[in-house]
Amino acid sequence: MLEPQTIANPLREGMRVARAPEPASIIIFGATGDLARRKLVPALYNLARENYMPPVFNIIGFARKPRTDAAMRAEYKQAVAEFSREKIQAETWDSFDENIFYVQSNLDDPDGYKRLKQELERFDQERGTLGNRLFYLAVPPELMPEIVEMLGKAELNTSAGYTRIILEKPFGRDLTSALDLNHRLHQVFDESQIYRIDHYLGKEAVQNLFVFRFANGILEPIWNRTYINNVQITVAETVGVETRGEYYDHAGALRDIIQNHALQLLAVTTMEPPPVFGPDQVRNEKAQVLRAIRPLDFNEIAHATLRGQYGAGAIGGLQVPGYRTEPEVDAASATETYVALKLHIDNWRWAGVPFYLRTGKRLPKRMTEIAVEFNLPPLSLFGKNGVNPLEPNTLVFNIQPDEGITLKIESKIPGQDNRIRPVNMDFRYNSAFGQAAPEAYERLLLDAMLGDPMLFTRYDEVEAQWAVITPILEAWRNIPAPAFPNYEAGVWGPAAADDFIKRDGRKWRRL
Amino acid sequence: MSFALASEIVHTPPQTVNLRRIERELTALRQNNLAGDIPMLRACTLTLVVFCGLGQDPANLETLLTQIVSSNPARVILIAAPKPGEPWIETRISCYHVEQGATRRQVGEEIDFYPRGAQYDSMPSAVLGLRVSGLPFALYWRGQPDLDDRLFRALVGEADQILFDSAHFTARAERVNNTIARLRLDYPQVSFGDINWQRIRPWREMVAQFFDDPGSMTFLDHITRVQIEFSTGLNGNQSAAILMMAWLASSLGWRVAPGSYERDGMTRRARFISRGYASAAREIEVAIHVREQNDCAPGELTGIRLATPGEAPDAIFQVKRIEGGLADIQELSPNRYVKRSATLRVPHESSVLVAELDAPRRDRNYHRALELLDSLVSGSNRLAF
Repeated sequence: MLEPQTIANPLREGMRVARAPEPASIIIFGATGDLARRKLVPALYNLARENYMPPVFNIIGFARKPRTDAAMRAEYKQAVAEFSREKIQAETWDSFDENIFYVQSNLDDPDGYKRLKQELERFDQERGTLGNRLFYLAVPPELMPEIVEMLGKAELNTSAGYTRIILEKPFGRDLTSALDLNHRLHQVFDESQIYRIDHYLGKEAVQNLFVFRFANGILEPIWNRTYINNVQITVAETVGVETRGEYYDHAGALRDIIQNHALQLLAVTTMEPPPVFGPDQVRNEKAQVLRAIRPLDFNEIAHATLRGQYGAGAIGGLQVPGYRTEPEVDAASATETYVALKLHIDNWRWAGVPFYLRTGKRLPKRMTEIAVEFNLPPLSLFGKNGVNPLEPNTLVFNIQPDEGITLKIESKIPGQDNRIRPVNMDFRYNSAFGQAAPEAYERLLLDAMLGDPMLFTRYDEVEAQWAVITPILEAWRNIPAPAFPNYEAGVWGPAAADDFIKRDGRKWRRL
Repeated sequence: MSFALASEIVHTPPQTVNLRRIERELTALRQNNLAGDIPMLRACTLTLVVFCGLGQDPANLETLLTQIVSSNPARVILIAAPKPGEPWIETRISCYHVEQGATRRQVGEEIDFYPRGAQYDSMPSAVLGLRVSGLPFALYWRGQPDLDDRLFRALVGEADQILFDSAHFTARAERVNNTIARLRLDYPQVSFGDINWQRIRPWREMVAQFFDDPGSMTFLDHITRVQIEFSTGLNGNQSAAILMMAWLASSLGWRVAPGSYERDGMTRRARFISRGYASAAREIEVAIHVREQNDCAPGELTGIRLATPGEAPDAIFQVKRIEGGLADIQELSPNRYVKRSATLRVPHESSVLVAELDAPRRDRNYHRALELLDSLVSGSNRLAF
């Protein structure tokens, strides 16, 4: 006779979701902060609405500000009404809201952690959460080590069920601090318990990159240095620093976007096929390719990197202030809000292919894309001396806002003569599947509850990413910054950005 | 589910054409639709034949077809149920396009056939010649399948994928499902699907969720009573409820108790014998009956209740449809008492059809459910069904 615990739920066979998460308590540190209100609680509510939450769950806010359970519930209700992708429904809210609780404590107060532990044990007893705990650290990075240490001291790093911890980026400020953070985390938690969130990996379009690359046989033969001329990864934002002035002024675009999102996009684009589509195998391959990125030496940095900072200008017809006059930003700040990089991957597949990464704030358009530009045919048959100049084929993965894939091909214009023009073949998620994709945080929170770390960043990936970025940070400290601001809000970065790529005989994609 | 592009798609007014000149007229239609020198891209991913059963007006399918071509650019061949009269086939063509910047993209072309009298017999030749070469050929038979129908037989032999909607079956659902079960055996290479099977998917997921927790999974071995409720339609179609019973029984490995399937008006009763993972085999009684609900489409499920009365441990797992498109979910067991509300998203016909066309496959669970239904009817008084 089989033990019931050893068999899978027979009613789940063939279903989209193989199982629902087990009953659990979700503890949010920084419960009254912006991230919890804008992203986490709306994501948890939408999961509950779609019946993806565990049959029993508690959402326990843990923060410094005094709140009652009722006040926290009211605050979250307002947040969901404001930020959820789906409208709030009275019935589903009522059955969601009764699972929200609050524990008030300073983050460095051992008594607060004791009370939290008592509450969690009480919930396990009274509500049947089976000792399963998911800690979400939605706090500034400098507070993380202390919270982790306090959790360890309060013996909240282990329980009768599972204990997992989700950390928001940035994971450190440079390689040294990232190594230190990982070391301190590993003193309290095993790596298998740690979920480092990079919300870009939760986006449907990024997950489709895996499928597009590894479920289509036509790509593999051409996905290499022989056929690909260069790759351009762009993360363009129209917004300024909004309410994050203080954080951003100490971080800058290189740490805020390139170190994590852009390098993760690069890794997914260039990784080798894993032997199995499993969390360890996928992350092994990503880490491997990240380690193969050639670090820039001091002499290369002057021409392989470019930084900029926006001044006042206009976006979408509205005047916007310059970076240095944004709230909580130093009036003489030398922090970069625009970065362009040229990187190389030293491995068999990619040797010699340049990877251009650029990101910026207050650019004309919000857009994230990966553009893979192929080599031109070896000989132009259709006109000489500039007649019918060919455009390279480009395969573009649009990550946001209009998720999809575009292939630019050359085509003959109908007629007696051989006139050629580029045509885009488009695949768009919203029109192809007609279905709103879940928010990245929904997917990632569900994965964390299910114990699937595939879309979370492992310690060795983080360290490999910092190994690429840290030499640039160090060099920039020693090279005088350009005269900032060097681009107006509403243009595609500093004027030097065009020369940056033109030196290689290439140009940025016009977006 | 929303179709972002559907509202932007233009469907040109259908124009009557000669049956023998369909391809030429379609080419002319494409040329006429060029807006000045705006380039036209033509996309096509499949040939989709839609047969409208008796009493269905093909004109009512415009929204459905627009939604389908918005995500699956296709050549659609729409066939109306034959009408009596002089032998004749009226033929109309139209196309669907969408404008994107400086480009106009054709996402579909539609050929409508309205056969009359004996001319219906020549429909197979008209339809098969219009298949787009090299692309999948899907048949959506939006009515009751009839093995003696010449067109049906001809199309089944050609199709890569056949979809039914058992909510449209007029005969008793058990008998029609037997027909599909037999077709599956005759055409093993074809992917068969039922829109109604996908309609009950949210219900299947909610029931499955009760037993994800290993502590609750033990209750599966003690279920002895199942009650499935549905809302009646004009023809009393209870296909969804019957499929739900068949899914539950086949997934849990229940055997049919011989001669146990009974019909009494709208009510069905069946008895099964459990396989018994961790306990002795026992008898399970499943009852299907009507519970009306205001905002329900005819035939839709309105509730399901699984119970272990008289067994230790005693437990009830229940999902009830309530107003506002919501489900009331309750678990009462020694492990816990849980009561919550969640959105009950019964998928629309178009979204199910799009999903099926996107991923044609032989759904093992559906086929297993049909096999169980077959043995349920075979072991009972067949004439009653």
